[in-house]
Amino acid sequence: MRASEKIESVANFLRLYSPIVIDTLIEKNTQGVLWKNVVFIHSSPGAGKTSLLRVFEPVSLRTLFNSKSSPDYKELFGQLKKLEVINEDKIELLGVTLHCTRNYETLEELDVSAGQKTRFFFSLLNSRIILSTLRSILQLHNKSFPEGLKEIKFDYVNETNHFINLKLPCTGQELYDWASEVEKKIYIAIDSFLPVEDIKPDGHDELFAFSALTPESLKVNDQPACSKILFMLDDTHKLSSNQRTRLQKYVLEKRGNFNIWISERLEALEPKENLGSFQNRDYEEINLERFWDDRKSKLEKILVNIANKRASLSTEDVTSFQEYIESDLNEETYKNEFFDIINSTNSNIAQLTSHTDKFNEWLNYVSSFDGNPLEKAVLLKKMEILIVRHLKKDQLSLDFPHTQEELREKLKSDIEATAKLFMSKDSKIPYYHGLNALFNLSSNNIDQFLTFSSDLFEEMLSNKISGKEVTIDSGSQERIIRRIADKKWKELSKLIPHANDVIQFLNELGDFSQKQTYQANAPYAPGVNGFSIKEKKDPKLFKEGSWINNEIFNPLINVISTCVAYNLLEIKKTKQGEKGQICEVYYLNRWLCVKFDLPLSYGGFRHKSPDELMRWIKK
Amino acid sequence: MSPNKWNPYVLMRNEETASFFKDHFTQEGRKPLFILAKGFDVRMNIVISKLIECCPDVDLECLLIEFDEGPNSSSHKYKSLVDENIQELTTLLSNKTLVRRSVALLGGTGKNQKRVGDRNAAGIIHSYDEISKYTDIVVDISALPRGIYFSLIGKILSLVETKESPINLFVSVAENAAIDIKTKEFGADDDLNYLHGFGGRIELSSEIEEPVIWFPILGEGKVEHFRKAYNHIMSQNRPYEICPILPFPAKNPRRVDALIVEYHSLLFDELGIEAKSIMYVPEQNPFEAYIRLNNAIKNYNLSLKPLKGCKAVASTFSSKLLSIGTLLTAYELREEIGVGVLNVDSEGYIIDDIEGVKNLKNQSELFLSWLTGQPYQKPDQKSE
Repeated sequence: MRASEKIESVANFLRLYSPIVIDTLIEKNTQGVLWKNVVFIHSSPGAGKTSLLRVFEPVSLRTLFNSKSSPDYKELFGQLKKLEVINEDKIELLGVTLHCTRNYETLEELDVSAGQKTRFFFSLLNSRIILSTLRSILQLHNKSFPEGLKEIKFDYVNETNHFINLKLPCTGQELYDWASEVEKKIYIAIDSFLPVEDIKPDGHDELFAFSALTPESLKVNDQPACSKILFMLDDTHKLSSNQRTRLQKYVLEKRGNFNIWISERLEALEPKENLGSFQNRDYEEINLERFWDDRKSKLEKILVNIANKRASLSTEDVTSFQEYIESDLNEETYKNEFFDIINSTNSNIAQLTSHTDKFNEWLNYVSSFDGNPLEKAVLLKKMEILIVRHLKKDQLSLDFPHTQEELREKLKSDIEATAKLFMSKDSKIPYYHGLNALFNLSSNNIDQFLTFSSDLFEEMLSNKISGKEVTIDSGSQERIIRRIADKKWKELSKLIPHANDVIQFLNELGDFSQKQTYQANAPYAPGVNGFSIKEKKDPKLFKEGSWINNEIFNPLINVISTCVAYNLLEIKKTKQGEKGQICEVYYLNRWLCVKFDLPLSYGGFRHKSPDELMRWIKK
Repeated sequence: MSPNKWNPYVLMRNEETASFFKDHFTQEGRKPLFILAKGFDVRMNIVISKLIECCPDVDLECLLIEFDEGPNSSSHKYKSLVDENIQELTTLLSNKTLVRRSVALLGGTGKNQKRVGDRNAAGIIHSYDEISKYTDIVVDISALPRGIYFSLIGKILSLVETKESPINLFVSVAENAAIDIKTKEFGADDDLNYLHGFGGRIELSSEIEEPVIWFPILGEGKVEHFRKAYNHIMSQNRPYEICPILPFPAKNPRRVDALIVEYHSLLFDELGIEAKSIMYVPEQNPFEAYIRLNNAIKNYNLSLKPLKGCKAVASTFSSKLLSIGTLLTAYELREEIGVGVLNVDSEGYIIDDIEGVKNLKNQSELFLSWLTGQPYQKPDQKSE
């Protein structure tokens, strides 16, 4: 049930791939900014960047083209047709993927000048782009490697003498050998015990591969190799900061001549880039997690679809996922807990109202309530919250009794979720269960959904094998969900930079949110699990947002930026205060809500000043 | 198949080492350089103290590598052990030259932090001129981290072996399985890289089609390390075959059985490795490990010639002694075939029982592997 990068067969990958995310590319295409441009695809790990790029690789496009009428692929084919990537007659696009690895970064450690490091970086990129392009052409034209290279012709006017010692025009084989030699020398310079000056690798001043490799310059059997080329640079967060900056600067300056998609994790961005608005960047950006924000119901459909499709491949005859997730509480199992809650809440209410008779009508309503134990427990919890709220407000008011009509009206308010959360806090009644909880737990990240659902699926399989009921009851669901959240929390310190500060910060945020959420009057129902940053108003001294530029707050910037980059905090925009005023809220990723016993809903947040947030780190 | 460079070989152990020290280092004109690392391992000074005990008047220079492991290093936690080791060393070297060289294990900060110790270790000795005055170099890996000594020894080998009368290069190690068991590694690095100098051209895109054979030497408690190395190789280049290597014959005859039990689910259920792919190397002979590994890689390369040969990756999750065999194979075949060394560093160490570990120190076994110099010279060179 894991990431699509690990799904071996292209046919299986395409069958399991949900094409809805391609809508965002169609939007860009409609705006005229998708092609002849540089597009950055950003997300935290596991949101589906590599899978998105994989769709545009020659092998995927060929599979789609060859089975264009198959119901499994029809929708995806249609989407790609809208992007002018493929049509009924031919595949228009040559997708060239370059996976960036850590060995680019090693160039920074060479004992050479900064300028020389950039030249080596450019030559390594040039050579690998050329090698990858030639391989992609062979895949697109279904020719074998390396024999097919001879059928490729590279006809480029070498006016700027980029291709030193290569006689042009040349065959694909000659171009391949040339690029291999360039790559090999750089690689040897990185890995050798000898000094770089003994190896003399070629350094390039330009990333000329992007402009030299065109449909016009690359021919197969004297026909253009494709209609357009898309260079897809994956995982550029693995480059050093310098390399990423130089690559970005180069391609943005030269944009308009070629199609480049750069996919990287948010961690690649500078800390300040991860904070605040994503608007006003000088490049086109697709943020995969934000894309799903406005498409919740579509995402839910995709998630259940993915889970079911992957389950259908199971060999243990558990071919559905959704079917075996118990959605409601088993009321018989928790009957005793409900009675305990009824008793304890009744006695709490009796204590709260012992000095006043203005809630007598409400108490009469409860005593005549004819519901099952679950309904009665929820009703009592809700009423307890309402009474506390009234007692806080009513201290100075006259002692008029509250009517049943008033109670019925107030019970309609959104405190049911809070009541259930309060009930589960002090009992064994599960709170995190059901498909909706699983959808929420994804935090718009498909891999995160699969992390939870694959363990649940394992449980289904083991139930099946051991002859038990396959369906996972709500208690077992919560047990598994909490176990995964605990495991993720334990692993956190190994995975992230600024780990101590981040963990301290999250602990403080979790404690703060708990205190706010579990107040007896539930003032922020259904609960708090986020914050927004609000500076103290002192217009003479500070302008809004100025803390970001104050180096005193660098630790806070690093912490929040790391949290955003590693998908520990989600940024959501909320209308607040004066008309048209938008406030950015940093919500805990939903799995962290499990860790801190918080609700999975959005909307509950508190304003905090940068000073207050800094104190969370420095405690 | 080309002959193996270190066959025949010279390997000495325990008393053989002591008598060799007496014979060899008391010869006139001997000027050895002894390289060791500062650390908390109680075995840090075993070899050098044996050497000085056997030949107190030897004109020895000692290069002490002091690693800067960052604020989270285990060395801070076990500072008292480090201090005891340094106290002992300075006493031993009271009338000898001690040079300290600091090497950073980590570079960059925050999200840009990464391991650079291997490259820095290779830079400890820049050129042959820096070592030409020595007749012998002993690199004692007893307290050296695994991710470091490969590049250090590789660099020294590359400097000395091409000379007509190479310096005698030795690698020593004080082995003690009981101490290894009590010194537990925890956490396995996620961000893996081939060791500097031992990339084996594995990551060359122009040669990505060549099949990769992976030879992991299995050790206790390293399932997670194994898995991370496997994922790394898979993410870049699917291995054509995995040949797990088990230490046998071993002092504990049940050791292989225990390892098979520990790795069973991973090897056979998850990865579907066939039993015939398993190789055995003697637990206490790095040269035999080297010869078997060399032959296996050369055989694979020969068989896969129609596919333009193969590349190999070696990983050691076992003892430092056996890792010397991996080092020699990777060094010898790095150009002819391309053998990469993929190491998975741990985040730190926990010593279960410090006093118990100290008590075990004297039960350590001493091994000395002779890599270059006199025994490997051709007869006409020897007579000169």
